[in-house]
Amino acid sequence: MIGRRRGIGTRLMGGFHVFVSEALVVVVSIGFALAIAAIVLALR
Amino acid sequence: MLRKPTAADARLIAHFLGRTSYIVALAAALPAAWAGVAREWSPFASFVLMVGVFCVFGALGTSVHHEEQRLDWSHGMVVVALTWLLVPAIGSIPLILSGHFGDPLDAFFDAMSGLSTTGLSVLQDLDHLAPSLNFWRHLLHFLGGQGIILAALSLFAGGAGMTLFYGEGRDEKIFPSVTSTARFIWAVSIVHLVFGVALLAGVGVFSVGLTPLRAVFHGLMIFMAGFDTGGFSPQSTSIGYYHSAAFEAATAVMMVAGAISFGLHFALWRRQRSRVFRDLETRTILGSFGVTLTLTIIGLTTLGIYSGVFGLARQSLFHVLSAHSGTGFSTVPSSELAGWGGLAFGGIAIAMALGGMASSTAGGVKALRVGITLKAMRDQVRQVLLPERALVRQSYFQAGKRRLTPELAQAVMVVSLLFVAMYLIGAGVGMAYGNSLQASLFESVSAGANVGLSVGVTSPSMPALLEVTYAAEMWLGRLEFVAVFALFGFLVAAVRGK
Repeated sequence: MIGRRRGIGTRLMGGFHVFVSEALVVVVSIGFALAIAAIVLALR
Repeated sequence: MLRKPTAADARLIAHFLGRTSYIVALAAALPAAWAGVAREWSPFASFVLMVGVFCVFGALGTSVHHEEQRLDWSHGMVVVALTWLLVPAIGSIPLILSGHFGDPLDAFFDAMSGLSTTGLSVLQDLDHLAPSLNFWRHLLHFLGGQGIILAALSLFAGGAGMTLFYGEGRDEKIFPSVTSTARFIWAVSIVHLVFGVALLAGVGVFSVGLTPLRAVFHGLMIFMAGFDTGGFSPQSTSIGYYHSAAFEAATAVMMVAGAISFGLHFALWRRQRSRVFRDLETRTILGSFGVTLTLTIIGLTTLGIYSGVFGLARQSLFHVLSAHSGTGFSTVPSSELAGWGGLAFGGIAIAMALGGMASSTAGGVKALRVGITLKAMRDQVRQVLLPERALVRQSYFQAGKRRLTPELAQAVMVVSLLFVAMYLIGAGVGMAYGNSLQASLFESVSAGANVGLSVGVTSPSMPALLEVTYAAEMWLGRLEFVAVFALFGFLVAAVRGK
């Protein structure tokens, strides 16, 4: 709505979305690291 | 011909330095209050002294009369470069008086390392440091990472915004006004502070077994060091102290958050995911992260240090994330890290040298510069291979489509080369004191890229010249050269100008 300031709850939810995205990056990275480690150890 | 700075120039610089001193005095009152509440009287007295000195500088600076002259580019750069010397100099007062440092240079080194979000330390007996002093060291990370100037801009921007903003190595305006951008950056930081401390403290209680009060203390310290990609920790064994994969994962979230540019935070905040993956910087950092992680895993496998998939992946991922984000947390002692030779050394050292995203709290060359350099090289090769009359469209995507001009490519490559030169000079000084090439290069890159991982060269017994070299690298790396060069230019003009 034009001219209406966003409340603290809306701001926190927006920030929480960012925080969850960053946690997802870490989860994907863990999966990637495990896959690479498994492949490298298998090829050794 | 150089223009000799006038008294009006000096007055203007002094005035803005004074304003910044007041801001830091305000922040320095926090550990003083902490020490007062916790009845740590000796640190309390030293904090009061430090706040007093900041206030004296603030009063002296702001009392200097200056004409209503606009702060131009060179003034702003000089203010930023001097601020980043003044704050660690005065900020080291409580550290000097704590008795945990061999001499004032050691304390200054620690304060510069804190403010520049590096994390290298020459502190003795960290495990017995008063909590309020530990808080101050971590608060220096927060002040440096968020930017002292940014704090000043949020409170009194005036017409000085742009030049001070760029002086701190930030080159991305999210909103048209610098003040709005500064306020958005603070909003992101405060939201992360709330969720980050809650996550770390929760994991600390349930996974590590800390008492709730200690868990909140450790959560706050690790948050400030992780989100601001600093690397200090409340215990001498860094993150290895917690012996918990869950705590390491929670710490990794903070490191990722710190290495992401505030522009990308804004895109995520607005749920513009397509923009995130089109971004040249995102693609570059994902590529370099994948390559350095793979190199490290292959290197550690060759060395035979870790035989299981889980242990190998855990140690490799944590240290590559720590290096690439410029944080410097570790889960192994520096003596063990020194044994990571070959490809593992290469993977970690390259990750440190490249660093995180531009306009984040991370250091190093930055993914944007790496991406632009690679793109410029690719376009150059295409231009050579195509017929003479063919035109190669040179553009890249970063918060919108931008033209890749030869001037931009040249500026990017100059800064990248300066980083490489700095790493090599620091390594040369390390080798002059009898350290191996590998150890010297590792430590120099760690200092210059504001990382903080150490293979043991940085220690309380290190030579003074090497200490000064690393401190200078931290200063230069954090301000990305420009502000420091402007300060030297100002001094040369003061002597030789007409």
